[in-house]
Amino acid sequence: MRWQSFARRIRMLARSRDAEHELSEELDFHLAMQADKHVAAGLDAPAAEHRARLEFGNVELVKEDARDARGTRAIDETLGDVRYAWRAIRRAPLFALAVVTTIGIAVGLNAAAFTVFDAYVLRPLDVRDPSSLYIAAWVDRTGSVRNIAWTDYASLRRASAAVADLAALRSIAMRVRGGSATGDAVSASYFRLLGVMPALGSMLGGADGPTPDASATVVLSHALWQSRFGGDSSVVGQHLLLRGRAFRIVGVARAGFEGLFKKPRDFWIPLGALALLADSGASPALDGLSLVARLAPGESQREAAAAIGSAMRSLTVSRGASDRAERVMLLPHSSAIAPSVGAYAAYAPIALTFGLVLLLACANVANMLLARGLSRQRELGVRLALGATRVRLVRQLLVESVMLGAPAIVLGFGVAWVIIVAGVRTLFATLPPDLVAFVRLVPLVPDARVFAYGAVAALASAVAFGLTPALQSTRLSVVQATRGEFARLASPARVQGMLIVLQVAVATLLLTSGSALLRQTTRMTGVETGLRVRDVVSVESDRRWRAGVLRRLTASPAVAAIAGASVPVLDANLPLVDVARVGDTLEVPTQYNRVTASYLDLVGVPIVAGRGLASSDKLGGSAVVVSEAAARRLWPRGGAVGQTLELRPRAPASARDSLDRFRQARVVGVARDVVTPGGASDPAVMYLPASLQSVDCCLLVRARGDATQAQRSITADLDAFVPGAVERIDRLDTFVAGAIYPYRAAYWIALVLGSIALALTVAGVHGVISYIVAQRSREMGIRLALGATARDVLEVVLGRTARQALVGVAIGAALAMGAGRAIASQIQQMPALDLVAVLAAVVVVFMACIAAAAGPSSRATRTDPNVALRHE
Amino acid sequence: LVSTTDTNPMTRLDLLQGTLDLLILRTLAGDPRHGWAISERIQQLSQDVLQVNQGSLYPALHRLEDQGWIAAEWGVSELGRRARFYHLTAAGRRQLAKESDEWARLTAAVGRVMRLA
Repeated sequence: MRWQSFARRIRMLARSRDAEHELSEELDFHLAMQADKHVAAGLDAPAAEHRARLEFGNVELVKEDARDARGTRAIDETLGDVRYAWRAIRRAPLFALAVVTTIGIAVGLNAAAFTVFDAYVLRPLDVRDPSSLYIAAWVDRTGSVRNIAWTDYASLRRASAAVADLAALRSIAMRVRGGSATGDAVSASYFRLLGVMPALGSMLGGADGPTPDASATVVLSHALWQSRFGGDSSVVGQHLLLRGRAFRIVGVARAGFEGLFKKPRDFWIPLGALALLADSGASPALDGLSLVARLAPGESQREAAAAIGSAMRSLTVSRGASDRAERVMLLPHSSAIAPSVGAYAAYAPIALTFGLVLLLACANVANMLLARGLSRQRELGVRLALGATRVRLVRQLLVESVMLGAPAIVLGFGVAWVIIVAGVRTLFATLPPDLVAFVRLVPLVPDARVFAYGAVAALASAVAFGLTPALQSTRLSVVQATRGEFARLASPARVQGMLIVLQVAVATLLLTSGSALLRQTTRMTGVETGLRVRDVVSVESDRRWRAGVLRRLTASPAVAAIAGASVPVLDANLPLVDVARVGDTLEVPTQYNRVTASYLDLVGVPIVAGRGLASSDKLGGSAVVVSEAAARRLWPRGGAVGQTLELRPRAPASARDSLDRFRQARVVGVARDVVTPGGASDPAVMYLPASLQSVDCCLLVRARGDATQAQRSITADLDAFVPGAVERIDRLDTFVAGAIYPYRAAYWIALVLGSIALALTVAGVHGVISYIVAQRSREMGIRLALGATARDVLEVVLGRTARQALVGVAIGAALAMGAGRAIASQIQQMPALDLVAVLAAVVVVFMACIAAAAGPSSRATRTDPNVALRHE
Repeated sequence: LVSTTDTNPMTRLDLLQGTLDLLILRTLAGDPRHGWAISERIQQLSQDVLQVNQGSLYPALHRLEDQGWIAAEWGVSELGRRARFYHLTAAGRRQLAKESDEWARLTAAVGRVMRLA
């Protein structure tokens, strides 16, 4: 329809009463002229008029056709429907309010969840043409996925035409201006490839030659510039200390660009500058780089992968099997979490949970609309009898549904906005304070996509469930409809029953998950990590400053004892090695850490047999301490102390590790089991000797007095020594809190969702039972009149609810146990659901249902037979 | 759409779809006319072969008006009564030219087939 003609129709509508009048006048004129003609031909006036009317035919039909021809009829009728629906809403405002609130809350919850999903997975990276970006990795002959080394990258750059550009990078974390920060060391092509412009100064650039740019220069992210430099516009040209080295700030990236990955990046340095930051000063091998590729226009992922693959194969053809390339994988990287099956699968349980709440809300609305559709049965029947077409009735009900859906959308967005704002506030308010510095959120702004999602969800639920009764009603014959009869199969009672069962099942499922998570949190809080964490502070420093840092720590009054470990305790996964008895085939995967002699004592792990490590044990030598679990598995009959074990590293040891310097080791002691992050529940652990000077990562300090105080005074002390010499200072209990936090958060979310689900279910049950009681008041009256006791009536109504609730609860519990097992198999440290959790949820949901039905049921017992029978 | 005088059903002509529209447009090519005058004019010029069915005339007029090819104004009829006068719009004139061409082509083609086949 062209706009002008639409506008004319609207104008015509505005004066539709005039138009009606004009149409009548026009036709009257015609009849008069025709009659005049007949008079002129010799008829008398009444006969002429009669003849003219006969010739003309049915005037009303002509009017109808003329109205149709004007094209305003559809608009006219729809406006009529709107007015009619508005009157219906005004007649039952509480009903409308209930529907709008229910859909609004459910849509709001889902829009909020979708916003988070969208921000991380769907929203494309803020760079030029993100859809042609790929992350590349190569697979060696043994099937391991490998990152690339600088030399190969430099050769690949020249090799392939399928790729428009390549960039290499490696992430790096350190303290910047007193706070932790994550950055990327990038090749010169990086910013050019991404098309990211500076907000200030310039970006890192130039050409990637045979050796990487090694200048001590740094580009800051816009966020870091704002937060730690106060947006100082003279920052370009200033120097920034990174691990004690002065880096010249050459520019600030434009706002919005925060790297290519989930965790926002704070700064970028040239790849070659990694050597300046390396521990020993000697330049280490530049390997383990991530490769970013931009495909040439029109190039397919498969062709490009094949082209780079063959280049990589010919590069590595002369190397050993474990270093020879088999093929190259390209993974699309258009958003921070690459859109892959894995990303969607990880999100699925959350989407499912929120989706279930929406389903529940829809079931409620369907129930309400169904009950209403029933009470409007007669009205619809009368309209059918008066000649309304089915299409007309459906359109009317559709308009009513949309009028309920539209405000629900608005409410939904309000709810989503509140949830996001409150959620982020709550997150920062409840996070253990030491973790706040590590948490950076991408901006969570509901955008057009989220709006579309919410609008579609709200309208779809309103329309789908608004139309169900409409379709059901209009399928009836006129006679049945006016009597209020239904086809047997789709009888509303049956549909309502199924909806109740569905609701109860969903509520049970959600509450079961909630209570399982609660038990998990309490268990984790209660469980000892096996480590004395309360007063231990972990200091990560660069090895170049190790001697000075050690001197300061030893002198500090806040320090009671010092130990060292190669891998941060509780914060990172320990490396794995297969361990066996000498000559035995049984291999036990064992986590290992290199620690100083004082370590086990400092973190409070008792030696249960033999002795601990001693400072006299040769470094990287042959004395080891194993955990009880390791000892039990290797020597089930005991007597581990004094035995010799064999180390069988899985992959060729990297340059950084030197496990294969010794192949065999003697067990000097057995230590109590501890909990390690990311591992199984009782991991086999092995401790190898190291010295305070040689440990890779962390110095552990037992604080004298309050740990927070000690942490602060040590930080001040070391920062005064060399700014940037210390990368991180953390209390160990922070890590414990950090490990528990996700479960606590998940528990609260599950609890809130479960409560909403339960409330919806209770409201649904209450509504349906009230309705049924009202509907069947006549039957109840007759029963009571015939001598049924209140108890009998109660049994009829409550029995129905109890049966449905039982079925629902059983389905929900079964689903929960199935889902629990599936989740437990995906996520470590997540136990399968326990019976207590399931039982608790089942009892709560069942009792809630009975309670919801109790009110209306007791009303049924008080039915006065006289009143009920007179009512018909 | 348009029927011949109902005295003899055998002379009834089934007109092609849209012919009434064309006739109305053509009738309005000159002076503005009201509905009755249009039907009279068609009847007159066709020497009573075509008698416009009133049931079709007014819906057709309103449809043409909706399409923007004709416009209506209230005026005073020959006999001094208020009547709704229709006239062609610019778009209507273009449409008339187009449809006249098509009509001429169609009748010429049909005529040729009838002569030569």
